[in-house]
Amino acid sequence: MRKILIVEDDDETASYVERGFVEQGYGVDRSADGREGLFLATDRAYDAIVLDRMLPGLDGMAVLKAARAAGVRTPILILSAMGALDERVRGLREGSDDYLVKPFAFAELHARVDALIRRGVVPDEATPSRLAVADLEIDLLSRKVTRSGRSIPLQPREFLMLEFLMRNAGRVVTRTMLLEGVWNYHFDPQTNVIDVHISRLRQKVDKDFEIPLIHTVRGSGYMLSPEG
Amino acid sequence: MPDGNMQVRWWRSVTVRLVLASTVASTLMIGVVFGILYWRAVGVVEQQAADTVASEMRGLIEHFSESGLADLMQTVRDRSAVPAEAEPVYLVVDGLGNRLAGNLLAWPPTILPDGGWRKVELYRRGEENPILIGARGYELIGGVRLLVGRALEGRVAIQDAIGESLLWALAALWAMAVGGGILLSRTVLRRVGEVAAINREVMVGELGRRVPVRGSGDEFDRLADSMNAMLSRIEELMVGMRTVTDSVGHDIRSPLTRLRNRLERARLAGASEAEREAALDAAVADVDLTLDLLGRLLDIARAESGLQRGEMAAVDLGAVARDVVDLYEPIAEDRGMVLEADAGREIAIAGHAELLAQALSNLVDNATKYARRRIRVDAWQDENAARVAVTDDGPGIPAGDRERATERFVRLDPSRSGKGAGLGLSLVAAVARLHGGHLELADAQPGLRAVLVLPLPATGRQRGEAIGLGAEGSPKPALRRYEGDPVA
Repeated sequence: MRKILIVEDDDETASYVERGFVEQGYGVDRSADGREGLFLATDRAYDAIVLDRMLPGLDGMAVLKAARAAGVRTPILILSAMGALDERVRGLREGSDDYLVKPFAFAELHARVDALIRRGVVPDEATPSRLAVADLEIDLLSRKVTRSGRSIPLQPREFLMLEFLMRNAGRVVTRTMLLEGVWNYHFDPQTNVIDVHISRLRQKVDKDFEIPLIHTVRGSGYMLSPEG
Repeated sequence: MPDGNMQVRWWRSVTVRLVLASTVASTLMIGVVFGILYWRAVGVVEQQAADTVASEMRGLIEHFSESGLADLMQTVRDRSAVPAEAEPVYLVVDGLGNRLAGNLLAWPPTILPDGGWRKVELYRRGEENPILIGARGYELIGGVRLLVGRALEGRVAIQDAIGESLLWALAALWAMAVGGGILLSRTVLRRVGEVAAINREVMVGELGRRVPVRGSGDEFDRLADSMNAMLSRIEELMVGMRTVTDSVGHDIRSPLTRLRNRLERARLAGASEAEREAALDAAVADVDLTLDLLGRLLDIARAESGLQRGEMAAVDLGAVARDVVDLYEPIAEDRGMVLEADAGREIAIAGHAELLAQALSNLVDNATKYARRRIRVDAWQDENAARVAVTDDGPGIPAGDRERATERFVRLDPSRSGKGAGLGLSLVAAVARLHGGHLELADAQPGLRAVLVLPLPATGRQRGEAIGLGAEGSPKPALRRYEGDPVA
């Protein structure tokens, strides 16, 4: 079972996150105090840590720094009400792996933690030059996409989106994750531009085939998977 | 009140220290001047004595050679007997040093009989203090020596006169220093007090107060000018803040009220399961809208407060424009519009890539809402500035409304109440200001042309510094967060 540590002093938020992860089949430990959180983080093996920024005892940034200094390599996601861009950059610079701004939807948190855990499990071994899901295959070197042996021409940006989806195959990818992963921007576009990009990609990847691979996950984002 | 906190301990006061320093300097100067004067005056007096003695000596020698020793001795005796103001000194000795005539007991050993001018201290009979004598000695025929001298008393008189003048001069100087110092510190303290008083008034909330500028262009005027500029900026920020709170009060209250009513209705007995479900969905949408609104307001506030200036780094404005065009191209096409771009060249500026992209995407987003068929994005630079223009062929903004369009919460089209909170252009304007630039709105005939004008980094050495400044805090630290290879 995947184990997650939640360091969050707001009981309401902590319960909400805990319930969510337990429902998804994770083991969850909770701590409402920075010092205790740091102790747990260094002492036990977790698959991921969700860390609030403002904590009693020891501030979230200090916990992050201390944990990294102590050699804790567990993926850490910072959860914070401080949403400004520079705060995010600071968090990432201090060694966090992702940064999510409160308020957030659990689906977003889940998708991000999931991506972090998976990245931790499959370390950057010899980067594969091909990715395949069902009959869809992409070649990362030649940037060629084929489905059932038929070549699908894609624009560069579409290729990046598909690659991003395939690397996270079977997992929910949220719109902001796509914007971050493919465009490297963190702001929230007012109009849902990502949906239109996805529907274009769908036109090319799914339209002429019997089984759709790109699915919309209601309220969260998208998932590329062989099963509906 | 006016002098309340202004009591400075006197030795800490700048004025007192300045006056002290200049007084000490002036005292030294006066000392030097009087010293030189004294030295010169004494020299002149002594020279006169030396000349007098020399001519008298010459007369006596002549007298000796004409009339002989006895006559000389007689003359010397006569002259010694006459009490004179200048206290002449005479002595005639024979070859063995025995006194033959004169008012001096013995030949002083320091006076050589060579006619040279020498000084020697001699005592009057029965007196403690020596007097200074200048004298010449001369050897006559047969080992007889003659000494003629004068007391250099004039020197003492000069000393006294000069000393007295010195005291008067110093007294006058110090009186002026004290008087001037008091006057100066009164003036300085009064003006410092004025500034401090204005400060206190501003602190208690009278933001409109300004430090008076006298127009003399002095240091205090310059201080007042920069303080007034600061106060204006503070007032501007405060007014902005007040506008935000007012608008937030209004604009957040309405969706929250809507939300409350929805939830209330869902709780009523008799609501069906499906109705409750729908009410919940709508409630979540309301909350999202409110959160979104809050987030945008905070973005604007942060951009306006300039807090993100530390994150400035080298940015290619052309690349940002291309990214945004790339992001919006599909949605424009979906809405039956053509999104064209001319942003191929690199435009290096110092900026915040993320905020610039957000600002630009706000402009393009707006364009996709109002354009009829075409949207153009152009990025270019001239010698003055870097510019990105977003042009649409929609209804545009009437000239009279353009100023207002960048204010928060202004929706120029009241019918379009659902979409957006009217914050788009004000964020763009705030981001432009953060970068030291501005947003220009113009008529595209038909349509709106919004130009983001940003300053170019200073050239040469300064340019490197300006860009290097934010390098460490670059908003994009190699974000290889997901395994997806970032944009190649």
